[in-house]
Amino acid sequence: MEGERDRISDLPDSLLEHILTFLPTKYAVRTGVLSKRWKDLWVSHPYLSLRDDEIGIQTVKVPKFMNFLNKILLHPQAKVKKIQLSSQERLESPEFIRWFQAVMMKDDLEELDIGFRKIYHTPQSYLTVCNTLVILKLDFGAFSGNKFPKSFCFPNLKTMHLNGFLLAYNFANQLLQCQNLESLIIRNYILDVMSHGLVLNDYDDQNEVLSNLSNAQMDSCYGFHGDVSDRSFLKNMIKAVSKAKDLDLSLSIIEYLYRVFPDDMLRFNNLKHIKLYLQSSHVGALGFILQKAPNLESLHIESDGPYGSVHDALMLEQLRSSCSSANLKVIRMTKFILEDPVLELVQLIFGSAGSLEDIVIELDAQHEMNNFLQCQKLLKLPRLSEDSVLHLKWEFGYSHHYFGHSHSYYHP
Amino acid sequence: MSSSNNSGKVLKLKSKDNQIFEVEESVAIQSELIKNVVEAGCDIGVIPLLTVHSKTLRNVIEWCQKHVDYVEENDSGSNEEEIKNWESEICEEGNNNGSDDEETKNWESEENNNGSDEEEAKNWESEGNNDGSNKEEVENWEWEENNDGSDEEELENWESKFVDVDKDSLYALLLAADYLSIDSLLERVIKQVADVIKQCRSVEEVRQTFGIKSDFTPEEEEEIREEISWID
Repeated sequence: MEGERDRISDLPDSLLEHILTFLPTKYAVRTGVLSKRWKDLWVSHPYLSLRDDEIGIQTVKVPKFMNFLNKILLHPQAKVKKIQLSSQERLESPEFIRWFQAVMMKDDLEELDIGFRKIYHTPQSYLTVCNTLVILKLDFGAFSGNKFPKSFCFPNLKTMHLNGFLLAYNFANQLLQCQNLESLIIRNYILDVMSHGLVLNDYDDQNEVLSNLSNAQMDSCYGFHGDVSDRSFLKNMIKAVSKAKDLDLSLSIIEYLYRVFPDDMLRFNNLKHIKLYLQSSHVGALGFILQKAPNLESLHIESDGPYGSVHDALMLEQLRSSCSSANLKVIRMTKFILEDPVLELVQLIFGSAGSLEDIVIELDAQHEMNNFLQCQKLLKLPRLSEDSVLHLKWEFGYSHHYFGHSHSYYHP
Repeated sequence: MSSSNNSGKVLKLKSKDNQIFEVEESVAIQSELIKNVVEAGCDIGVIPLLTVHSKTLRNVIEWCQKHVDYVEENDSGSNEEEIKNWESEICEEGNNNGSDDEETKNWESEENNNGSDEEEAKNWESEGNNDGSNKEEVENWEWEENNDGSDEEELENWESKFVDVDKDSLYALLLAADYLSIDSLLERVIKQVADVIKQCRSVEEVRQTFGIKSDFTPEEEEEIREEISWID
């Protein structure tokens, strides 16, 4: 039967490779089966991107997957710039660790974004340098304790997101060498007690701060003992991120700062937006942040569990005073339950924050305390800033088979 | 060929089959190759394009003309008009806030007049369920947003029609765009070919669509398929 003439294979390599760059990795790799002409054309694809449902690495297929990964790294025609691999599977192969350590230092690599449910434990690597890396996102499972390199240098790195790593005590110091960093997220991490010897004491270098940092998120430090090394780590990290415009810090970090270093000269001068988790016994920490961040405009407070019952009167007074001198424009409250102590907090904020423009309160409509009466009390609270607009939103979560239906009721 | 009133130079391009095309310089220099020749400064007369057939060259020139026209249209006063419209919209919104204040006062006095809380609760809850109008508002707002991109959309539609041709023509365009170094055309045609590949549901379908014959032995092919068997 007369079929198509194969004219596409007559196109020059460069054009065929160019065509392949427009294909998602899965499709590009498959073209290797077409004919000898096409066999390894896909290897020069600059983007390797494979997401969950595209990788099937049950045990028997792992060696083949590793061959593939090695090809991407080592083949003479390979010039990969961005690698994105994510899978809910485990990849417990020592070969992967070798590949991973090699790839973190690859010339020309710009983006490395890898997430597996679990990998083999990484042996400590001492020095990891990559001059071209711009994005580094790693997630091998919360608290998995994979060791992050003790010394690293990524001079062009702009984004670092780490989940579940074992960090050495000098992590902040190493981080300060990545002065182009703009976005930092450190979640579910543990401090490596074996790295005590690496602790650097507080120092007065100019280079204590990541000056280009725009946003930072830090969870609390799992296994924090409060000894000298732990405190030093935390203090250095906070100092390093203190120039960020947007912070999302776990409550225990703020609490810790507030209790242990209340008079520290640390300031968050660029901070415009912060997200905090709040309970009644920690309102002092909220006041503390307001004082330390004179340019704060937007505050997001979220309840991280039971709010608690009684406020400390002294802390309330301090909070009132901090709120009065702050320039808060936007407040967002999420996951709170409108119990009376919460209303007391809101009343205090409404009554002392004079520059408020927008208040957004999102409530779980299912909870019995988020009822009409409590809402009425909330809506009637006097506000110092008369022009402020209050948005009250109810989230109706139906069963988990439906999407939550969110309804906005605007109430000037 | 050209419709604009540009008083620029006119260049002569000669196709592979010796046809001469007169093209305005502003249109022709969409091709980096031609642009370099022009900037080199010598007075050439006719620029020979040895690998491009007249049929393809005609289409390429049409593409370049369209893109020059598009840029011109979007540079002229239309932007100013857009800004004026946007500014008056903002002023209107400002006035709407005024009426909200009134609403508040009405609501507050209502509150004091109503009898039981229960009645209020019913009213409040039924108002709450009136999300139809809010949704409409959101939809209208979104539609307005999209309307501003209509020029871009129009160009995109034109481009899609332009590349909706048989494969041989596509390859000719591809080779011409590559030779002449016309990025916009090259990217669009490449995307088109890639889209055709993407639509094939299997390697076999790709082979049939493009006429590619496998020259692997069965063992070789099996080996390669095994290598990528981890792909789901």
